[in-house]
Amino acid sequence: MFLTVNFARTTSQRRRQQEKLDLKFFKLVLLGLGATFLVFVSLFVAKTLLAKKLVVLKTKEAKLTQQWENLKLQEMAYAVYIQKVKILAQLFNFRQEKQQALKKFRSFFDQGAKVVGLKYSVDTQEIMFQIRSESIFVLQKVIEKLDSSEIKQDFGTVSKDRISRSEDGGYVLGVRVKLDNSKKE
Amino acid sequence: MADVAFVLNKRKQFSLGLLLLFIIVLIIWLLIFPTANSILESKETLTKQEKSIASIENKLQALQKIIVNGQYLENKEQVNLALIDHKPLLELLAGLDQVARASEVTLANLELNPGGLSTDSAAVSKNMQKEGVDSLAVAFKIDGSFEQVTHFMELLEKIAPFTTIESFSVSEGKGKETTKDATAAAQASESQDKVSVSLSCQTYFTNVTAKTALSTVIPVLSDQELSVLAKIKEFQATNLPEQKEITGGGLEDLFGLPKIDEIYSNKN
Repeated sequence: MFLTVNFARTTSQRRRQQEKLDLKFFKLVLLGLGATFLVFVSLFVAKTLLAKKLVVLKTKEAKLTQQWENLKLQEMAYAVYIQKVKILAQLFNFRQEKQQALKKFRSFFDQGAKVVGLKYSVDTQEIMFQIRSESIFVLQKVIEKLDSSEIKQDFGTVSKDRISRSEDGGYVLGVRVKLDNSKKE
Repeated sequence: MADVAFVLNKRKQFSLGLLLLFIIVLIIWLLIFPTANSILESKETLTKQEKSIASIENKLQALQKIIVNGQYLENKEQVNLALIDHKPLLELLAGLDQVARASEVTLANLELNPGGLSTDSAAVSKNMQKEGVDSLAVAFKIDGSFEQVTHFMELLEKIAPFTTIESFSVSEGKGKETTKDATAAAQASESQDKVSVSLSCQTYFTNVTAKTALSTVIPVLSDQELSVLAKIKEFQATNLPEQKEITGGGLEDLFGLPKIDEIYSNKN
């Protein structure tokens, strides 16, 4: 038995196989090129569309900016108005407690007692009242009212300074009301 | 080298494939990447632009609403009266006069310091100065019954321009002496009710300037700040008479000079 060795056939078989592989490779690369080109074209189209949209938006923005320029003065007037209201709110806040205290104490006491003296200074943030009572009984009621929870709730502890007795039997009581300093900047 | 040339020569499809592969890489590197980057940048710009346009549109809409809002125009007028843009010397004096008449008190010893502020405490806080607020200090004395005086103080804090009492001190009236006579006693009690109040107050004015930009948001007021508008409505504006013509007063020429008409008629 002899073995037939045909080198030429093996070589040509190998070459054909190689050629098949090369063709496959070439086709794949060609497909890749096509796909790449397609991707590039679609990206280019997208870029052009976006650029167009951007131009439209820029034109719109310029138009709106022009409209705003026409309303700029009104906006500035409004901004000044807002700032003034804010300032007024602060100013009202500063004096609110003083006004509350004055209002409260003027109408707080019953008959026979009334506020006859007042002193206030923004430096001390303190209001001093002088309350005249007709008699010792009225004075007792005044003191009870000053110690009431209603007053304590609004103004804290009210300090009673001094009591003097007048010739007609009336009593004058000095009262200090401390206002909240935290409100003053 | 000879081998490579041989391979390229013998395997044409493979070589062409390699060449195309190289071209693909080149296309990706030189065309696709830059285009994709540019698209991403454009998209970012587009988003920003859309946002900016939306905010401008919102702002314009809000501004249009504000401009036609009658309440704003009404409030603006009142706010401008409460905080005027110049030193309110005449307005304050007119306001004091108006309030004194309304509360029937007598006003005296008016001390005005329009050039400066009396004390450090009377000065407007630094924060407020930054915002463009300044004040004019005035001190005076009023006489009247306790009710009249308190009524005066109440009204004083309701005048426009915004005026606030910085300090006051009530001193008791005269007539403390007791008397047996009925009429004299009545008079004494009346005069006893009279009090004298030393007051110092400040009137505020502003020099507010506002800057606006396209990107700034239109400011809004909080509820507390809105409540101020209701309080301002109670304010009483001072009515200053407006001078519309210059009147000569009909005085004779004290220097004995000929009248200007006569000089011109002589020249002609």
